[in-house]
Amino acid sequence: MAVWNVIQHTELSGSANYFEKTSIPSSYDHLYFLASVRSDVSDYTDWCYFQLNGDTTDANYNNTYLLANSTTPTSGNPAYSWGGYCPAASALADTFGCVEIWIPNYANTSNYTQALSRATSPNNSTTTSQFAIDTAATLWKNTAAVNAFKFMLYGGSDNFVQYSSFTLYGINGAG
Amino acid sequence: MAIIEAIETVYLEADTASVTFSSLGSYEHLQIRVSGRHNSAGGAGHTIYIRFNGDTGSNYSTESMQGYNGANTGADPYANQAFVYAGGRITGPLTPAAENYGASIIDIPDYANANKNTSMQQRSGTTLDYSSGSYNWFSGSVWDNTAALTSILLYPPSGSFLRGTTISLYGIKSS
Repeated sequence: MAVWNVIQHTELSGSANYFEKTSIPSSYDHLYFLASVRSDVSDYTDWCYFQLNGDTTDANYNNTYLLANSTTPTSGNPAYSWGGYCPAASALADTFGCVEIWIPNYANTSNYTQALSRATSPNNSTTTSQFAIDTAATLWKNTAAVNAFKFMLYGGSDNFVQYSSFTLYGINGAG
Repeated sequence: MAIIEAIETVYLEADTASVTFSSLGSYEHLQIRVSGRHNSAGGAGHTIYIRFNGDTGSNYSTESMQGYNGANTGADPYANQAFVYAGGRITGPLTPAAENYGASIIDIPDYANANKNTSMQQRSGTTLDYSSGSYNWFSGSVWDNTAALTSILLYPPSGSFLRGTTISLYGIKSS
């Protein structure tokens, strides 16, 4: 039995508002999402978040994040999910950010779902808010098995640019 | 078919100034795992410097976020450097225990995509037997070049990788 399995891989041939995978099989132990993305919004960075099973209610999520977009890291605990920051249209041309999200025991129906994310929005700038790196833990307050994952940009109308890529893996344990 | 494969592992049986991977295979993403130590005199922890495709120009930018030396936190941007700064941490001669090697995991998504600059994400830890010189490090970097990666050079800023350092390169597929 393979440990790593590709559930879906998408590289954008044009801009897109979101990446979504529905009907995720419950047969793996963990989910791992790896994205290389850039936003078209007129700024240096943009912010990503995700929804599970189509749940669009922010209050059903909580996260604890650690963020550096200056020389002083900050932390917070807001009521929404956290995917992390990525480069946007004003950042160094052709530069995409790396977003990783682990969702352990995603098919477990006894516990709330926890997700761990890490994101980097590199740029050739030392100016505050023109770069970002962050890591977060997100709680989805629902015991349902995760069967759908949607990853998008803040604001609803921002788009991932061409060549942004998204890969969702299913990870198996032993036995 | 395995989704993640080991491309090459270098186990240093003698002190070595640098390690180069020049056969990167055909994958979607790369990951490097380091268990490392350096031998430069008077050194505690060091970063690992990285260059791609032999480029020695000032085309690399890095942003880092770290907890260090006990209870300190900080973040540092480095723009237009001649190497990826902080591509991981390695321990040095000031580490009390000779057996203490630092650990790093470096992700390089879409390394062969010629439409993107190469971006990467690094996590690293060197916890010593005393608080000074200990680091928990998270950083992101970009190489301002859209060429597909053909080689990866890793080296300490001074001295050499110490005997016993192990560096593994993995390829991760998307189908």
